[in-house]
Amino acid sequence: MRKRILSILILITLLLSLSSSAFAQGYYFQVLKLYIDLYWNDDGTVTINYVFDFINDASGDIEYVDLGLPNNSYDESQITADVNGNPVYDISSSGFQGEGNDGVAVGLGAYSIPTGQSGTVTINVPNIVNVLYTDSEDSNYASAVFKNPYFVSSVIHGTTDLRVTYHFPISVQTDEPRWHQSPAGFADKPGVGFDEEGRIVYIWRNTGADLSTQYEFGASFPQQYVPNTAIVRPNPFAFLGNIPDELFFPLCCIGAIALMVVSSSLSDKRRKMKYLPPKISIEGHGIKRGLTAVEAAILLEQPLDKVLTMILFSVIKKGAAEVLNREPLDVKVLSPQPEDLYDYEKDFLTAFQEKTISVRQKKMETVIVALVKSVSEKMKGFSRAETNEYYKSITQRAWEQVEAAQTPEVKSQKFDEVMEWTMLDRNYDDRTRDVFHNQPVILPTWWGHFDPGYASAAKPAASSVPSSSGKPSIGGSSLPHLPGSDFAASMVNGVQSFSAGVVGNVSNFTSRITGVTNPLPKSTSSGSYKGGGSSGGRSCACACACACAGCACACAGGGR
Amino acid sequence: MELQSLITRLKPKIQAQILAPPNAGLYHFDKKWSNDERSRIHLRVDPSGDGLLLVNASRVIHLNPTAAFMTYLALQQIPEELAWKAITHYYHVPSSQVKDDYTHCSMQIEELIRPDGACPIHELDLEVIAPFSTTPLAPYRMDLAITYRCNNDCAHCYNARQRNYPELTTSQWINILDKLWEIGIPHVVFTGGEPTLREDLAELIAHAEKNGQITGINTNGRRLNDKAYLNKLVEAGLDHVQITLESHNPDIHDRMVLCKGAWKQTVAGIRNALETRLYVMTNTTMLESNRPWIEGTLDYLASLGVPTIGLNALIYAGKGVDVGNGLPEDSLVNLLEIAREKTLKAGQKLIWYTPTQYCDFDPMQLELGVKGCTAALYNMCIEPNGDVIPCQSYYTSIGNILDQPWDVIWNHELAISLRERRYIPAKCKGCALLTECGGGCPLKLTVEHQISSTIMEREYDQYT
Repeated sequence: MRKRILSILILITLLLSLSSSAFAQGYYFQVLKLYIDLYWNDDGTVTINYVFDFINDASGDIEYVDLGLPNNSYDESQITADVNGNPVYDISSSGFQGEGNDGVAVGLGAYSIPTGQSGTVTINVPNIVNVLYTDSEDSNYASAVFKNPYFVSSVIHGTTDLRVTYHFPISVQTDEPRWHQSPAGFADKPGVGFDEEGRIVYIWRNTGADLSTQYEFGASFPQQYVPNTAIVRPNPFAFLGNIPDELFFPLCCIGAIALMVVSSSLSDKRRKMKYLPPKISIEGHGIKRGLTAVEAAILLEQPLDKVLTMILFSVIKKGAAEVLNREPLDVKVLSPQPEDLYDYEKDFLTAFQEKTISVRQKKMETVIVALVKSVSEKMKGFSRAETNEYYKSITQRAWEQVEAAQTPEVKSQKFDEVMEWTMLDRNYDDRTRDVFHNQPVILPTWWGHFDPGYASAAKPAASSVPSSSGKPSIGGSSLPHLPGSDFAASMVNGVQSFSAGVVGNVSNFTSRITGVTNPLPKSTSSGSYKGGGSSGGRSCACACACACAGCACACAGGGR
Repeated sequence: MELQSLITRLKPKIQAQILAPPNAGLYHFDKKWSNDERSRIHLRVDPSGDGLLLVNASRVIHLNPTAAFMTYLALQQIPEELAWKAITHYYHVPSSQVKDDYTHCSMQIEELIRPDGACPIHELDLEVIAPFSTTPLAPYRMDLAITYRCNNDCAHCYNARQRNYPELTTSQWINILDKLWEIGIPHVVFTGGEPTLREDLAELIAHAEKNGQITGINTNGRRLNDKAYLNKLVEAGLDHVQITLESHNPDIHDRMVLCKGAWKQTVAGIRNALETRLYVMTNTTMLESNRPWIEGTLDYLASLGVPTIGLNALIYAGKGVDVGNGLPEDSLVNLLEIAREKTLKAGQKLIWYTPTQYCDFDPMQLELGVKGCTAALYNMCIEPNGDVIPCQSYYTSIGNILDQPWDVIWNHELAISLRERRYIPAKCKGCALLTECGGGCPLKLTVEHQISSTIMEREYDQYT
């Protein structure tokens, strides 16, 4: 007796009550893999390719595979098959012994699969017609439903890697196909992709499928991509009763469509997901607090001459230096040095002790480079954007405090307290003029160290009253003061003095700095990133991976 | 005709690329760069579609579902046009937006996985979320205490179990490695006890690597004295090694580990490891016993060429509870300032492990990064018998990995209480640094306040 593997393939006609296959006794096998590719062709036909990986666990060889087909609308002579890549030619519909009327028997001949052995059987059935129906929900769509071949449970064991792939007509666009509800055991939506011809594909896959079960797969696509005649349409008179035999097929189709109404409505909900733009985030700190105004200036990429001016103001306020001459700028370093100088202030003063301008400029570059690197180090793991906003808000608040002051004394005092933060304002020059232009300014105690000519300009000529905290002298019109406009001009000109007398050409100075702190990025295929800017810039060889809290090295278990 | 026939035959075998959003699970990518550097990348996708990207088991990046899908496509090097098509197929979105978003996203991913890539915070401007603010479905790293046997006998050892604690078989550990992969844990560290005392260590490493996991060992380094043995581990695929050296002074080290001659073997092990491709770091527990010689130890490690130095304080478990030579947290600043200065000068990386109360010692001030307790959050430990504990020093079992579903273990009351930091002392509430600090090490709290570490869900007020 010939040993056969019988299977049933059902397309939309599966509702013709095919239930199981008839098998010769003694079969026992596994199907490790069944890959089915359905090529929905431009002419409305489908070409189906099956790849079965069998393991024969029975006592006799597997000599035939019977494959059920949906109808007999195919050209038997075009069906091809092979076993382990070896073509076989014994293919006939007349020899089909499976359940149902339609199918082919494939004789494996010399390549029969011996007991205990495995074999891969590939069968290709081209251009089956009458396989598309009108989508019950959208009459402009063609519905394509498919059920896999299956085997009675008494002869098959194990699970199967079952993959069903729909290849849509080449002209179908990416957003056009719609999947129906996926069968149980499969992902609730098929994988989507493209084959080498650029056709959209839907892929359903279950690596643990039960091949004694029929799974139904379905999808729809616009009918415009196939001839109108390729669509099988239901008989509109089928409901009239007394159905003659010749109307049986259309009636079944109505039944099938009724089924699809349900599945379509379910699947519609899943067809497209709401798009949210991609978001990538990393654990870390938010705001880096505690930076000095000078450090914040680096972070905010303020012009470098302004940064240096801020350092100058800082050391003058601390009593570490005084300006001997403003144009050209000449600074005397005072002694003893206060103890609370920051490293960049010490370096700054050291640089200023150099009288050769070119050497001094070089040393100033070193000061700024070190400062940029220091700020970068401090910013490890902190959010630059949030920190920038934080310091901008400090600047804003600083101006508000000054502007809110009701008297010149209070205004001057406030300004002295927060002036380094107001200097972070990109509109510092204009705002200084606006705030101080129409009233006198009580001069702070350190003013004499900043403006060597103030004694003659200030009224009265007496020296200002020192305040223990470095705050401005307060006490009425007898205190030294300047007209607001003069004061503002003096502050603003301080910056310009720096650019002219110390750093030379600001652009060149900045370029030399950024050449060190922000060298040209290495060429990558991915393009460049923002950074740099006019100053400060990117010096970020950050090791944020370990600064961030999400780092997996957290508490990695030492202590043994 | 022959060509046409061939095409017909081949056509059915076309393998379509699956471009659907990735299913929940762990995906491993091994990227080799032109400069011989390598990036081991793991994309972990949650059932929600959210993703977690781990680069070399150290950089952790969070992705929303769209970013996870785009990352998945980018890591597979899918041609851009196909990626755009796939995304527009799944989402209601204009194709122009997808092109812009995908280009930007894939560029960011490229930089994030590149060894010398852009800084994620300052240059990529990624959104920064608060430390410890996300709760994953599984830790990033699992420490595997495959044995509690040890050839040292450190006086301060945190091990609280008997040395002859029951051990699983090789096949059971292999099952565990597979299970961890299924759970989505990309990084395993073999520890103990002394993991090199298990003869199947290389086999376990090889299996984990085959899974796609990054592997490391925490060891006293003595067996690495044997080059042939070390090479066996390297050939098995081992990625990194952490070797404990308590002092550059042999006498101090041997006295601390209570084993004469241990120093010599450990240092030989360090030297041997440095000759391999392994990522090598040392670890030193700073105690009163070795405190005066810390500087010398750091200098010595620099002279050996150790690229990464780990330091930690006493762990309050096992013998550590009673040893009595732990350093007060507020005394750590000076030591770590020295360490930072020295490692910076030597071009070494410094890793500080111990979670402290920031009011006593704030690692952020020393640029050591955020250090908080990550037990039962980013890392956990499996004991030699398969029991899961919150971290390798927290000896309270919350289930057995072989017997219980992962969800049950992960959602054990103790694990939740640690993740939710229910142990935080009342005095800490309202502190601006609480997010980063988290109240310090829970084990230390339990010792200081004489409370049970079994369940830390109670409010701490009653003890403080």
